[in-house]
Amino acid sequence: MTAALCSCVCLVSVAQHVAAYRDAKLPVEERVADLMGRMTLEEKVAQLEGTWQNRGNLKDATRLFVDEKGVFLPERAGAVLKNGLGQMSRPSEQHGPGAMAEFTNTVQRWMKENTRLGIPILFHEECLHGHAALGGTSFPQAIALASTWDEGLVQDIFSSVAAEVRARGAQQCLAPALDLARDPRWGRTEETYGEDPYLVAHIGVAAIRGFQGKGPNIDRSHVMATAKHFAVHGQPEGGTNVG
Amino acid sequence: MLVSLDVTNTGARRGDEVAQLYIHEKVSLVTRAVKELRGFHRLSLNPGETKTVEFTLGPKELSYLNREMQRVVEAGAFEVMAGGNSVDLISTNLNVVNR
Repeated sequence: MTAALCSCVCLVSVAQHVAAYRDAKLPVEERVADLMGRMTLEEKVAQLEGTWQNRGNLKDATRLFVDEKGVFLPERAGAVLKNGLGQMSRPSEQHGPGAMAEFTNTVQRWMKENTRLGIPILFHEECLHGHAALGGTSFPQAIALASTWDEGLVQDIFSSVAAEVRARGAQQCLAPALDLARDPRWGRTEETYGEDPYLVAHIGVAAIRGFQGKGPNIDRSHVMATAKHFAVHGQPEGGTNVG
Repeated sequence: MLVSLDVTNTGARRGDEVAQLYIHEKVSLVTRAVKELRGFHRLSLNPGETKTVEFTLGPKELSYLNREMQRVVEAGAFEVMAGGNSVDLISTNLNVVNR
């Protein structure tokens, strides 16, 4: 009798210690409020940060937590990622489909088990016309997809891209580009859906529906789309990309 | 305004055509594009087959953003154009009046 009572008390005690933000049964707003209340300023800032573990672009070697072969280094992560991390760019680098899935699982497990609050990371990939990665399927360039005038086909294509990317562990795609082709000298004109806002809008919506699925939530075979570029980046001056 | 188009496959093979609808406001307070796409429909046709495509042009389709960034329809003459590409077009006129 004493033993049974004791185990009951223990169960109650454990239940009380599951943080509200970890309880998927609670409303999202309640979980967010609970989590925000627990986060330090450093942890909040870390969620706003992203890293691209690309040795050619990352000037500060102290920020690396992946070796030159793309292998995750837990001891480096302990130094760099202790406050968590919002985004990691292109985990597909140096990884084919199977290796990328193992890599993203390894990093995700480390984030959940070794950061104070266990907040998972977001991985994003380039997907302008297919997953731009080792072993990814490449579809025709964006301007060619728009030239089909076929919203259903475009939606099917990006649904297929989403399934590939999600299977490899990433949850977000940096596409579609909704910039208008304003100046053919711009070296990224082929990334657009053309010069007409109506066609760009219709093909763009089809691409986003393909990436994200029917909704309202994004299921396990879809990813977040990223409508870009922010701040009218596709309005070039003299045809330059960042001028 | 309802725009109705008959699209016929005059060739010997089954094929697709994209019916495209454009507008042009001839005189406006802010210069508008020469051709603005306002509808499209891709359809498959057997040899000799004709299909009818319908587009609706209402206030939303005729409007644009003025200098105050308000969406407005201006009174005046519009050209309504349709075809299988943006160059080879048939057209008709539409007059929008203030009431």
